[in-house]
Amino acid sequence: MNHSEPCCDWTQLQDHECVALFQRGERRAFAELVRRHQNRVFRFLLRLTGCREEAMELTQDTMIKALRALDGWRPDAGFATWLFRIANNAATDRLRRRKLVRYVQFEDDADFPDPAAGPEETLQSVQRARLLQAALLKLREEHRQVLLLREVEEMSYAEIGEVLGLQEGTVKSRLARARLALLEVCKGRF
Amino acid sequence: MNSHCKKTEDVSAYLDGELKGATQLRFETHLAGCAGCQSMMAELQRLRTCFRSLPEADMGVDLAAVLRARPIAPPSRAAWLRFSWWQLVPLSFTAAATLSLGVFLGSSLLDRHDTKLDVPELAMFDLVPPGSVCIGFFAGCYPPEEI
Repeated sequence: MNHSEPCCDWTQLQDHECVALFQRGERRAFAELVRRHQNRVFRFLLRLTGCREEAMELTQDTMIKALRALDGWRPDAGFATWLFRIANNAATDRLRRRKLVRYVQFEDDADFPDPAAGPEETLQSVQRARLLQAALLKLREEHRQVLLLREVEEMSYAEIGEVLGLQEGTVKSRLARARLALLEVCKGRF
Repeated sequence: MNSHCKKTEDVSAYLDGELKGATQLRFETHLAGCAGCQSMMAELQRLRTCFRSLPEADMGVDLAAVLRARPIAPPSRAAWLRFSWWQLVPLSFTAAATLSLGVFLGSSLLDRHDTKLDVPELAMFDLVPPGSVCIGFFAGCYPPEEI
């Protein structure tokens, strides 16, 4: 393969085609995969950890781990699912090692912003987003993971199972419990 | 919150479109007659709307360019995986040499143990009790064989 000229329009390729090109020696295919997925992975990690710097560092770690393991990747699962599994594992390891995982019980005097502060719909939307972000960080990590993968990443139960290493039945019950927990934290605030 | 209804998981799964076939039909029949499940469904849908309103945060950097500029080391295996048996060879030789030297030195000391030491007996352990007046070894106080 000629490395000096682009072999094709990268954006037209599917993820698995980029991976196949990478495995045949076209290292630039990985750059395209990074560009496609970096912000999605970053957002997931940001909402999981609640810390921008931590999320940026973990995103970079995820991509480096993916790069090192990409030669052995097989298209049994989607590339994004595989990437999220790496990201989730990296986040879990980091948070547990740094003891940043906090299972905080909801308190009535928690510093939620007042949802009645702004009458405009836009402002209410921003308020709701802040409320939700604060509420998510009060959930157990396993609940936060499954909610983010379903509600934000819109993954199917099968895909969530692949990311978290769970059976679909477990995903179903965990997701239901996570939603109940979130509703309990947000009780009357939406 | 509908905490009494046993269909909580099904409400959640139905919202996600993960109930199929007969299960879905059965649940829809139940939902039509269960105010608790309808209320919960409405709450979960409100939550979903809130999730959609979460801001789209970006990294703000081209990570691909960052990674290209940074040399990526090959995957580092754990220390125990990096260990190979042939690394034991110098250590084995050193251990064997040390052991041999120890055995040699020990056995040479044991050989000397049988040799009779030629140490003159001390007068203070003489059979004559203390207090006896003695003018000296050479004045005939003691029989010569006891000196």
